[in-house]
Amino acid sequence: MQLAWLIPVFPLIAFLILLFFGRLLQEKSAYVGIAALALSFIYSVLALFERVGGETYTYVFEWMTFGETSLTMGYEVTALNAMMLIVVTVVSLLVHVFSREYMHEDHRIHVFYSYLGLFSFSMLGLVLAPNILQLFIFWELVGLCSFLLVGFWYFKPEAASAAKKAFLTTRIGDVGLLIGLVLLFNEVGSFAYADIYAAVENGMVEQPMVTAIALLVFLGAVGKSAQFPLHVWLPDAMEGPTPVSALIHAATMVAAGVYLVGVMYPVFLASETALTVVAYTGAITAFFAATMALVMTDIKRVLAYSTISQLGFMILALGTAGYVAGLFHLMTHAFFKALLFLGAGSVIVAVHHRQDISVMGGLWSKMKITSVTFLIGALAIAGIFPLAGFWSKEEILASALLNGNGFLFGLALVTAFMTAFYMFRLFFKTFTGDYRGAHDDEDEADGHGEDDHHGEPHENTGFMTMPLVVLAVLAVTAGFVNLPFIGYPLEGFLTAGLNLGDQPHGELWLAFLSLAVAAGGILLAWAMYYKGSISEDFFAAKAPAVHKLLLNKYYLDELYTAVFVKPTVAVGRFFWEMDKGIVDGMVNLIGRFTSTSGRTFGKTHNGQLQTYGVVSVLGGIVVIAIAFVLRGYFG
Amino acid sequence: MTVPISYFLVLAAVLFCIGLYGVLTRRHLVIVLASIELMLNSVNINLVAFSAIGPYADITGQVFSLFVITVAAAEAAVGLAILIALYRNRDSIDVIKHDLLGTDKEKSVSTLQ
Amino acid sequence: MMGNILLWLIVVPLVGALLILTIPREYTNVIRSLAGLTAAVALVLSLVLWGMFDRGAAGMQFYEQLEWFTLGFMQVNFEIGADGLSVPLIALTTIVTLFSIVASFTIEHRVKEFYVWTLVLLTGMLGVFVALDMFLFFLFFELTLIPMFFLIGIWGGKMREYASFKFLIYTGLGSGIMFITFIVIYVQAALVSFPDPMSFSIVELTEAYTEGAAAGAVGGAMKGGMFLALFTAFAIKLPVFPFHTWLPNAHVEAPTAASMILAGVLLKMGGYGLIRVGFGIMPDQAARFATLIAVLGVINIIYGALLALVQTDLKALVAYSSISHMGIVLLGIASITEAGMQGAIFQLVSHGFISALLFFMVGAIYSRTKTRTISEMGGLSHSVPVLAGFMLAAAMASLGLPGMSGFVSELMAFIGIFGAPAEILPQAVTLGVIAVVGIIFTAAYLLWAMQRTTFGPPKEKYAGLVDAKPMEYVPMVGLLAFTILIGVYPFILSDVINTTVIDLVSKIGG
Repeated sequence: MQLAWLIPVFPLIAFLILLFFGRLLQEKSAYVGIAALALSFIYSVLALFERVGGETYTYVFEWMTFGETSLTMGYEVTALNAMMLIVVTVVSLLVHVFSREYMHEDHRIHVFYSYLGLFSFSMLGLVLAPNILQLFIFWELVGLCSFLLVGFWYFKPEAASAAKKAFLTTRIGDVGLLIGLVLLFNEVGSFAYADIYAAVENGMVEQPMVTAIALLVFLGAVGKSAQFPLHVWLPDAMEGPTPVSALIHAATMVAAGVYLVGVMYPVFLASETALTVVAYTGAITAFFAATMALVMTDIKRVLAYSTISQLGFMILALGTAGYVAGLFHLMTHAFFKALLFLGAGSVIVAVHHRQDISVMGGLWSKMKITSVTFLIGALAIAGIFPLAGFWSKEEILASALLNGNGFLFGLALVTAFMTAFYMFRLFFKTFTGDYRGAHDDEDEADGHGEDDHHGEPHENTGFMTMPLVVLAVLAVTAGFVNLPFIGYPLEGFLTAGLNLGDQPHGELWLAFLSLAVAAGGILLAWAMYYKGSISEDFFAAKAPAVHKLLLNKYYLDELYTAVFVKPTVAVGRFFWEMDKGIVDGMVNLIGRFTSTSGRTFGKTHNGQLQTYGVVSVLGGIVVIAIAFVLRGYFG
Repeated sequence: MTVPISYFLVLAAVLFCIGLYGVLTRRHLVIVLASIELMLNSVNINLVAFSAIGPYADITGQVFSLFVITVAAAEAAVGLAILIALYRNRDSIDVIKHDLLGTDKEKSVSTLQ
Repeated sequence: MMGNILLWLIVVPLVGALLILTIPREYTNVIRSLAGLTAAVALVLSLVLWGMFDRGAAGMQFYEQLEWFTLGFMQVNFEIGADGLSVPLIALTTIVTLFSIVASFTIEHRVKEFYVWTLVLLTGMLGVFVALDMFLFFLFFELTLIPMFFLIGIWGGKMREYASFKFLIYTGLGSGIMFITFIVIYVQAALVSFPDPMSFSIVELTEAYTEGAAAGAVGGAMKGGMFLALFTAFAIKLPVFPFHTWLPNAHVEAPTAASMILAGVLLKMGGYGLIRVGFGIMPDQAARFATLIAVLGVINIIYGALLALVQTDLKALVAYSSISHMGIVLLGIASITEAGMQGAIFQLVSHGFISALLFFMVGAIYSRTKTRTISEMGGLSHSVPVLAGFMLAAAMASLGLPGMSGFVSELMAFIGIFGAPAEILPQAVTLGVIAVVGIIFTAAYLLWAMQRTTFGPPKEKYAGLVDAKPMEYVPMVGLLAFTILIGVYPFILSDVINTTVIDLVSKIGG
């Protein structure tokens, strides 16, 4: 574990190499990135094995001093971040491999890989941070990478605007996080997790300060993990290349918010209010995002809303004392959601860079590997036994139920139903039926220029299918690390040495209930989109207003534009006018007064010597007269 | 009997005012110069008068008036020389036409809007 | 090398300027190299100073005092020295000046005068940061005005004359107020110490006002008035709302190199003076007016950011962002904590690098596109990818991205303001929250500007543009490297500042 600092350094080196020599390497850039991530992955596995048998390892050095205080930076390997290291390096490595094929037509592939390297560095640095300040530093850096990668196709106005929106929206949350950690620092006197845990557990931070801090920190998580009401950036972020969506906007960066709540969990536990807010935010987000996923027709947007919804699940679990449940779901979700996104990427390539599911269909027979792995991913996210999603989702439902809040539990159950439904709506519309995209190949321009290989979709090469297969295996097996039958091994690993209270576990009937709900969702989707026994627009026709509301994403974008963006710009304009008119106006007025009066009095200065003489003689007479009067010479 | 000092002073004052009037009103530079001579001489009358019958009568005033006469001669010479130079350059010795120092003659240098 | 290194620092640019005066104006390349060489020597000297500086010692180092002249019992000395506050700023000055000289190698118009004025300016700036006599301080402060006036007035844009006169008169007004206040400060102390002689020494006056005879004898109202007058004088330079309006004009019209120095160093003299003279001599008044300063700081941050948001000219946007960032300095020093003071000094240094880089980028892009209007740009990532990349990096640094110096200063300032003692700053948390929200606006205007300039579909009229030239890499890479260095490992800077900051804050009794 002493060498754990190398884990983020490998991608950093890859980033630097590609930054300086990328233009020479071109397509070979991919191998630099892949090699770096492979090394990181190996070291992560080693670190995990060491950590399983050992203690937390911490190394710090002095980073900054003020007064008597020192701030430190360094790295540490805890149980939680050992797990996160594996998740991040696995997904990142697979995405690196996948992108080799996906991006090979782009002449800026070296830039793409350098950004990926920078992102992997930042994300791994975030995970390894031993204190919240360092986490915040890398937190912002992953935000930067997200900005760069979403805006990778900078020439598309939508991508440019989405990149800005992603950065700004998360920045709002970051401001909360920054205030929170500064307040925390002023209470505790240190940014280190260990000191924070100790201070909170000893009650050094009093109410309501601890609630305020917890809520502010949570605001950061809301921004990063795209929770309601700051979720609006994530669907737009789908403008980025699909591998980026898989890596950043599904598996790793957006999960950083959940991770943040995880590492700050003692602070949340100290505040009942904060936990309640967390739980409700999670549940509401999960529900709202799922409703929007029901009607989207863009394959990536469906997955984006699904990601938001699943992140809501994790937040809900954390808010209802299900620490392990939330983080467990983080891990399983990372695998199956990355799988789904990469699968979508594979589909998008096959259908010539189109994303609308209404022009897909019938791909099952044409691309077997993608279809089967996608199905596995969909089953996993729906929560079908014995795939990964089943185990983690069941635990989340258990913690919501055992928390004693029926509303949250109900919401979670409904969301689980919708999840199964929209995932299989997506699956059936994409992979079953007839291919609907053949005839309008010509009038399709998708920012990718002309596609030279028109025609039937076909399976992609090994660079793209290999990651799918690996992720599919993980989507099946990842749940087994926390099997109830063998005493929840992951839970024992994550909670050892931490004082987090008992972890909730559901009874057997809950497992069956969740399975039934998922099966119900799948069945309904099957009936509507495969069998056709229920019309596809059955619900849309029943409640057109609701359908329209969902299609327009609850008009939140429009609302934010009207309430926040436009008034800010208007205020700025007003201030500018004020600045030019009044503030600077005063300055210019003084200047103009001086020059005008100078010019006016200058008129008397006409160059006529005799006039000057007359004036000075008269002046002399006046002076003498005054002197006489005042001195009284006449009296 | 002696002439009272006020007679001298009034004479000097009248001469001085005539000179001053000439300097301030006449446009011909030669007349202006002559008027200046007049003013200088009115001062000389004062100096000599006080020297003869002032409260502290002594020789200083007379000496001083000699200095004034000398300086006035030099001044007239230099003044006439300038006058000729001016006439050669600008074809006129009209006082009104020589007003280069006036602000109106050149556009304002101020750059403020 | 013998003698006082600070003295050498002031003399070297002056000698360089005199040497350039002897070279015929046609030998432009000789003049350029000589100017660059002089700035490089100054840079080396400042780095030597950085190395020699004793981090652990409080008080002035490299102290030198030579008698200059006396008027009655009024003693004016040539007194110089450096502490943890001035050493980083000296280094900043030489670095930014060297890079701006390199950046101005493209200037062809009246080359000789340009470099003479730049080097005289360098002397003035270095003089301000080392002078410990108020008279000398004022002298150097004024010495920076004249060269900048000419740099803007001769090599500037369309409205250069208006801008340069406004700069000269406005900041000259500040200097006037400053000088009068200096004399009042001196006379008040001298009256108390009479008949013992009193010099204009800042060190001596600081002692007199904080521990010595003048501490109790000078009335509170008088001291308050003196502090406010000093604050106004330096607020014009910094600049602080509502005295900021000279800055956008000056920046927009100034040539790139002058903008770099103006934003990079000249503004810092305001912050430096405020800390050195204002807080140094009258710490009790600083505590008294802390709320006022903090409120002005917050106004600066928000107001500058909102104005930057609606600018149509890229250079004006950067100019307003300077105003916004100087608010952080005010906020930091108003908190009267070690963290806040540290943050303020960090911000002075960090903004020096970042704003110089931003102005350089704007200048480099302007020299290609021939326009600074934001709406006319777009797609620059396509035509000039390297420049666009550095522009983006500069914007990121400016919006306080961690890993770059801006973040450290903001963090420190916020730690300071949130931890400010309640008896000095009762509204600290409220002000802090508003200020932190201001950084959202900062992100907004910078990203929006980036979206409209570097992103977007490539424009045909920019298709043939040449990307960064080798000579342009020097300032770009150099300035960015310093920004990242401080951001990644701020200890190298905080180590130098810390002892001085502890000393300063302990006097205020925070």
